[in-house]
Amino acid sequence: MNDLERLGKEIAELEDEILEGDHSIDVARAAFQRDRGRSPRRRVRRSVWFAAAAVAAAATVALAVFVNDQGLDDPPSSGRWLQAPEGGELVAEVLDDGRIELSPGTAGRLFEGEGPAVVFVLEHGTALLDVEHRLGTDWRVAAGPYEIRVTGTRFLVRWQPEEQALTVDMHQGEVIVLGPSIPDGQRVRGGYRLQTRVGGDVTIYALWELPVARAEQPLAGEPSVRAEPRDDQPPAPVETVLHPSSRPVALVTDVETWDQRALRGETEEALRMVRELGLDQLLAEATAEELLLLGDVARLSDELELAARAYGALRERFGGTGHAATAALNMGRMAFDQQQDYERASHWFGLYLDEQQGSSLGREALGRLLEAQIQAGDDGARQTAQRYLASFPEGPHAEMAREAAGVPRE
Amino acid sequence: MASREPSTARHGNKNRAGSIRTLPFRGDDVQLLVALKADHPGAAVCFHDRYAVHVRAVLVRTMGFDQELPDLINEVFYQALRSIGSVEDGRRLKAWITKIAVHVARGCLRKRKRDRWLRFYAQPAEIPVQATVGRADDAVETMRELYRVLDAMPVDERLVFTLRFIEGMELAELADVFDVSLATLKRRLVKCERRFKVLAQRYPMLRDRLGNSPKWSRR
Repeated sequence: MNDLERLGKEIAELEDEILEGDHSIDVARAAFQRDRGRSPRRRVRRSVWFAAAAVAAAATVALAVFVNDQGLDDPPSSGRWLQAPEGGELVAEVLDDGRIELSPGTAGRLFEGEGPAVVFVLEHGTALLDVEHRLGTDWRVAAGPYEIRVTGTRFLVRWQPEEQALTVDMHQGEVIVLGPSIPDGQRVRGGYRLQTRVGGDVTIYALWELPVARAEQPLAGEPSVRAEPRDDQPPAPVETVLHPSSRPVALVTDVETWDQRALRGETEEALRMVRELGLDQLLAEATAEELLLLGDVARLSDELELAARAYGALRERFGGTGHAATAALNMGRMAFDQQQDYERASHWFGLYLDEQQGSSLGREALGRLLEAQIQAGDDGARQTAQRYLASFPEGPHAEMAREAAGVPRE
Repeated sequence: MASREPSTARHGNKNRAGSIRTLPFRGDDVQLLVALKADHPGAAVCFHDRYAVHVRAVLVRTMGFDQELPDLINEVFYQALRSIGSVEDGRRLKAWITKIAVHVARGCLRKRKRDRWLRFYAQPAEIPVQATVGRADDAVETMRELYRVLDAMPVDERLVFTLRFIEGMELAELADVFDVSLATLKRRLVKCERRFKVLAQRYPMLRDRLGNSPKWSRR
């Protein structure tokens, strides 16, 4: 095998690795089935993509809704049927992502591992969901005609089928609730409650303003931030969405989280969503992986200030980790390539090398450090060049290093 | 402890009554071709299920990761179904759909080259963000450089090069895909290898990877 064949083989292996997380075939198949082999007008490919994604999601949710419609007396045979006894709770561990706690008498069905990673159909009662926040996490909760999209959070959901009423209490993170009156989705953030019923308004309350005595019924596992009753006045809703709708239930819309958009390469839309969500909150709450993603997306979109804030937050909150070191490397790339600030680039490349000794990108980082020092007129370039030649005499920056170190060509 | 799972006997009959469902097609490629020509229910979807992974591989190898991948996959199948009448031997179904996938990739790459020249489409193929996040890996950098070199190559050379060196197709198979003789194909390969080598010199990772090869340094 020659070098070119070896290179091709490695590229193929990397592509295959990336394709393991690719859903393009599922999306294509859903669209293909919908069109039954008839070619759509392919010039509108973008809309086909979104429509196909919606169809794929619809297939999943339709399954969930179908299951829900069966009722407790006639549950289908697939998925895991979860039923908490009247006298106690039931706790279900779900994949590696989290757990679902059902309060006494609550029932639902759990689907794992297809389409969205987890679909939980809450038949009735109250469930506390604790989902670890990781990139790409995709849980859905169906409650009657409502759907809740989860990317990692802790929240409590109650569905009362006889009243067609939904309550979602967010403890941490954020979810998107879709359903009648909110076909385009309503975001609910940590510390807030969404209340709605079919044909009614959608109301958002701040949890800390809800007096305990006023709650229709205490919910299991309610957050500790709840305050004592302060007066006899009912709590003022933060926001009321006044559009009771007679439209048919449309559970599936193109509502996604910013990181899902970013991972699909829709960087502009992802950044718009980040700003809408509140950058400060995200910088304070996001995981290291998310902050790195945000920094990379912003950097590649020339949003340099935003990128610097994301990388900065990552290094501040997760110092000493591999992600923090990678953030330093990317800060160096940004300073060099986009800002032509070679002194700052030297600082970041040097920091990366200190923090990630022996990493697979060490050679490139050392080479970039040398380039930055030469550009900045830094006397340290000679020493870096010697260090480079000692470690990588045949590396891609070897010629530059020989010149900087004053070593004659062989 | 009693099982929480309800008895299937309680709901079995209700689900069966009055429902009609299409059975999936189960047959080899020869039977599948007959079924496709006869517009057998389920044959088209079976065709899609059977070859979508292969079609995706051909498209990704030749074009890189593309946001329109689902549409491109389906475009291959739509074109295939439109001309299914022209296929005579079901055993050649895979080779035939490979040709169509290459044809679709060629059309798309050429259109983008034109559009890029006109500045309507300025972005070359890029590695998906998720592949780079948290991955401190030389391979990602090498792949990025490879895409840039491929973007600079003529489309037909790019197709030959990627299918040979990345997808690893055999020479005879490649000659069939491009409808050329083995000798012509070999000449094309030499030409695109040479061009790739020249273009790769602009990129440090590729230069390093290929420059250390005894084969390359001899030249």
